[in-house]
Amino acid sequence: MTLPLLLLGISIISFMLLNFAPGDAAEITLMRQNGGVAPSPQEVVELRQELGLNDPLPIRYGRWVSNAVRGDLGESYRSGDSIANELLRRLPATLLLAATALALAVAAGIPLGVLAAVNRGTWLDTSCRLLALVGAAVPSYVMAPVLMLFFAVKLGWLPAVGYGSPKNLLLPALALSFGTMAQLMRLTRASVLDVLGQDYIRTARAKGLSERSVVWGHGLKSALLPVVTVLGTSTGFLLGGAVIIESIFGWPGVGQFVIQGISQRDYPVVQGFVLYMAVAFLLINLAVDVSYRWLDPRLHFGGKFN
Amino acid sequence: MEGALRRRIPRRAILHNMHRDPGSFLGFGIVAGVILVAALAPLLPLHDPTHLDLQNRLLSPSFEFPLGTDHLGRDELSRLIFGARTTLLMSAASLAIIMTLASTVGSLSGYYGGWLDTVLMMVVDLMLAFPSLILGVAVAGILGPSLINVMIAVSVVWWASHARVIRGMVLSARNKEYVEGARAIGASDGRIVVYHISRNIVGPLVVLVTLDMGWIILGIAGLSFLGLGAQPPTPEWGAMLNDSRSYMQTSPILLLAPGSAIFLLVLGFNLMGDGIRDILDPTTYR
Amino acid sequence: MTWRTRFLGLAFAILLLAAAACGGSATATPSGSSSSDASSDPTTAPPAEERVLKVAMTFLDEPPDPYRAGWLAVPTGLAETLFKQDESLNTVPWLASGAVQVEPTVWEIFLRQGVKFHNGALMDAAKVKGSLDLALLRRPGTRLLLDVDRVEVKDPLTVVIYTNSPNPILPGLLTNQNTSIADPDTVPASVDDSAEFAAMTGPYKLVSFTADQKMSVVAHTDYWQGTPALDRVEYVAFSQSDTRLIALQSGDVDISINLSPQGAVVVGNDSSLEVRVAAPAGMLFMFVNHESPAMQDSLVRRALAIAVDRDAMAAGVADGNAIPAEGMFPPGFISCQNAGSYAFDPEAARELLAEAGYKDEDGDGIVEKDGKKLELVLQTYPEQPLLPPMLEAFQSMLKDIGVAAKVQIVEWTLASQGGYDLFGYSNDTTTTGDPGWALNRQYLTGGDENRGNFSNSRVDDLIGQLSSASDPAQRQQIACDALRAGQDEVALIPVMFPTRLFGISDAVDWTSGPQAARLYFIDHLIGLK
Repeated sequence: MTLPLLLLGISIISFMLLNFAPGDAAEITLMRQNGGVAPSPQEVVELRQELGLNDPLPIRYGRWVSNAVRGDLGESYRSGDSIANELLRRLPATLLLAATALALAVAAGIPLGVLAAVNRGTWLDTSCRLLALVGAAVPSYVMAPVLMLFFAVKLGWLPAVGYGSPKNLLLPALALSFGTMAQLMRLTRASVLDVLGQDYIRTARAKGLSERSVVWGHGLKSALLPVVTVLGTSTGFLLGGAVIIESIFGWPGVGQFVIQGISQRDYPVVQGFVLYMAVAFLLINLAVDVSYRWLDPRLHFGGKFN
Repeated sequence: MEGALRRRIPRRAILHNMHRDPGSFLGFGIVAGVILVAALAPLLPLHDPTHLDLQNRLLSPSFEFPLGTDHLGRDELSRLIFGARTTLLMSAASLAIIMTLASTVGSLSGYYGGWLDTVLMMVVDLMLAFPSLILGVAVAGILGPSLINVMIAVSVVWWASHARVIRGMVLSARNKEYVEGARAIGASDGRIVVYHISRNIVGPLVVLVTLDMGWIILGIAGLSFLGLGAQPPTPEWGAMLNDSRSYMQTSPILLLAPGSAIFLLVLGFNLMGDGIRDILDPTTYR
Repeated sequence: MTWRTRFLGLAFAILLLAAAACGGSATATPSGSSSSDASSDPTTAPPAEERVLKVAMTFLDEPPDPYRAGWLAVPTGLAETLFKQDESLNTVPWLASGAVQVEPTVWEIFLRQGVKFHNGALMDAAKVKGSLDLALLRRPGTRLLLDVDRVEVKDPLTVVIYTNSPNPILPGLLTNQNTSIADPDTVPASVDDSAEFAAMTGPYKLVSFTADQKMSVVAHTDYWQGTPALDRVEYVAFSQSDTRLIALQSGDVDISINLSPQGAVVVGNDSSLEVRVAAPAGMLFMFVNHESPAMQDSLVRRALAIAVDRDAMAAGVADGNAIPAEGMFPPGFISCQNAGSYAFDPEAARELLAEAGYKDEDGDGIVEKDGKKLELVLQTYPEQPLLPPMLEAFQSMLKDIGVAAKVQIVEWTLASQGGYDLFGYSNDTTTTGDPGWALNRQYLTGGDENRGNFSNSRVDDLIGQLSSASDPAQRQQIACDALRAGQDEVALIPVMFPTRLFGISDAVDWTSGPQAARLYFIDHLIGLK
């Protein structure tokens, strides 16, 4: 798995998305300029020629890639504005939301998972597992309005909507984090249980180390390995889930942008979004791979551990 | 247990496990119950789920309408039950497509190895490079709103990770003694894969499939929620959730009914999956 | 892949996340065409006791450019036009003080004295001419709308407009917000640059605009009608109506526009909130695709028109927040508003279908003709929340008369592209206060909003007569004839006139209330208690 090949593949798929999209790019652009009135066939033919839409596929692809590499993802059908600019402008909001949701999920999920594993079989364990199941099975778009109604309207503790202060971040991040929190909790619990039964743990116990040192010192580090892998894929889910949450909370991120793009048949936006997100996701997975090495120096081979 | 052509699961192991872990039993019951009700739906004495009655909108639960009526006067209970059919059918169909694709690619990759493996896995890695929901939204958005397109979107996005897992399983199974034995007898490659290997990986595969049903259901409901799935008047849980948002505060049951239904079904599949895994692999504590 | 590559990748990812964290907490306004900021420091602390109103809008997609205004500059009190519509939707002077049609193609417009632009400059005929010239230049549609040949200055407070053909309703056309008056010296030279920071005349002036997110305006203290009652207004955009509702309930905004009918119920139940209702400005209707095979037969079209149970639609789909519509214009707008009555009559509809040759041969409840079933494609868009349920309800009404139908939720521009039988749509019909405007757009062959390609020579003739009629009574008569002619041919199928619902908190002082014409919202009088 080499990076350049992967990026090539991503770009091809993103490009093909627009090609399979219905509607004629020239016609839609003209209609926007005319304020919604259908253009004449002649105008469409002329614009197609001008935009180079009649060129063969590989040439169009090449043109698109060379533009994309220079940071030009084309213009939105709807507004005519640069898509790359808009994505860049909105990306911080989405990343902030996803990062906070991830932080919440980790802060709650991992400790709870350890707690459940260490207290296996008790009511604490059962209730944690139940909480995890609930978190995994309730969709975020059901959770979100419930949270809004409860915390913002009934209790008035947090603002329901808005953007700019940490208080605005809390509700959307919370709604987004539940699924991942649940997953992390279950995984951590299973992983810790696995590790706790291993030989070197028994050795540590036999050596007379305290229970605390055994669990937190030796056990945790190895247990976190599969958790870290999941963090990588969780980020994908969070970025995707953010699309729905942003739409509900009016959070000004790329998710809201792409949803508007979809409902307005603004396909260049969708295409640009997919490319952007895939690249971001790829980089994050890279980061996961690297941190993997640091956590367990026993692994010295190349390629993904799967 | 190696060397056996088939692993048998003793019946008492199942019962023993259910006693120890009632959750999986519950899960199985939920799933079986939902499937049963959904299958029998046309025979049950239910109102027509698409019959509008603008005079009777947003009614509270009553004897005639046990879950009340929705914003267009349709019986919420029958929409919920018929919605189960749509959701289950779509999810099962997506799963079938995913498993077919994943099994084919994974088996070929794992069994033959070599350049085929390299190429196929590069394709898989490519698919894995996209965050799944985002690609799903993009594909469904571009193909246009319809249940079929949502099914395609979900399948396209989900098959890759399963292909990897199946490849791993086939890889390890390939080197087992029973495969060598079969080859020694003169069995063809195809026969080995289909008959011998699959019987041994079917267990973990079932666990995978069961656990993933939950995600697929959520994925399809999510896309329908965004308006990309079921078109009116087809009842489907995600679309029903979307419709209910304007009425959330005045008729909360319209949100709670499909929301709870999704939750229960996903819960059921998760519990069931956990239980099956425990049965097949009793050495691990989970 | 080497260690170094992976390390660089990790470092990059961390940088990205850090940038996200830092960039997200400040209000993000990088330079770009969709986001702009006039003041140097948008985050100065407000002085004590500042009167700030927070409003939740549906869209903030385009900047409030006075010449390409979308739906923003005039409603938010930034820009004003020469004329406006009053509560009875009649055209009355605004920035102008009056007008006289000295010849069929020549209008003299008299300007108000003492009107100051946002930059302090005084409005005079030269500036108005400059502004109108720019309006005609920057948006070709405005030129078509006004049919103007040229604008000239007669004296410092009089502007003369020469039209290409006799235009008895020019003042009405000058209520169109694309003819807003701005100081031409403050408009950017390039037509491609947005003019949202041009100096306009309204009670509020633009401070910052971030597309699809928020807009901030401050009071124009030299406003010609007096100092505005607020210091600042902050607008936010939420496309989902329930988000707008919750934002109002949680106190994050003071006013929410475009509430859904259910939202109005919730607000009504809340003692700290109030519902304000504005009379309908337009209709919810269905375009008939006159090029689709099924719609060629006028008997079929008429059957569909009378198959709509409009009372049930208004009471049911709109929760009582709409008036049944058989014609294009809301009550009170035109004397014959329900001309060509489409009274609900499913029996008669079935008979019409039978007369057209459609019978149910195979007993499945759907009629056929020559072996082909009558199955229609109904499309609409989701942004107007009443349209999808309206079409779903109609689908059921069609089933009652033996017609099958498929409902598809699509993008609104698809209305011009055929591929459907009926398209659910929402349009204002009372703009300019004159029926000719809507008749031209909806009924005339090739009209701007004639997306179903309706074409009828008799209707075209009648509408043509309107352009030369200047006597109001005569105009009403001709308009009624044209309306009736169009209704007979079932040019389109009106369904209901929705009222517009606003939710406000009890802190808002809005005695003037929402105005009849949808174009006017924030004025200098609205304030906080």
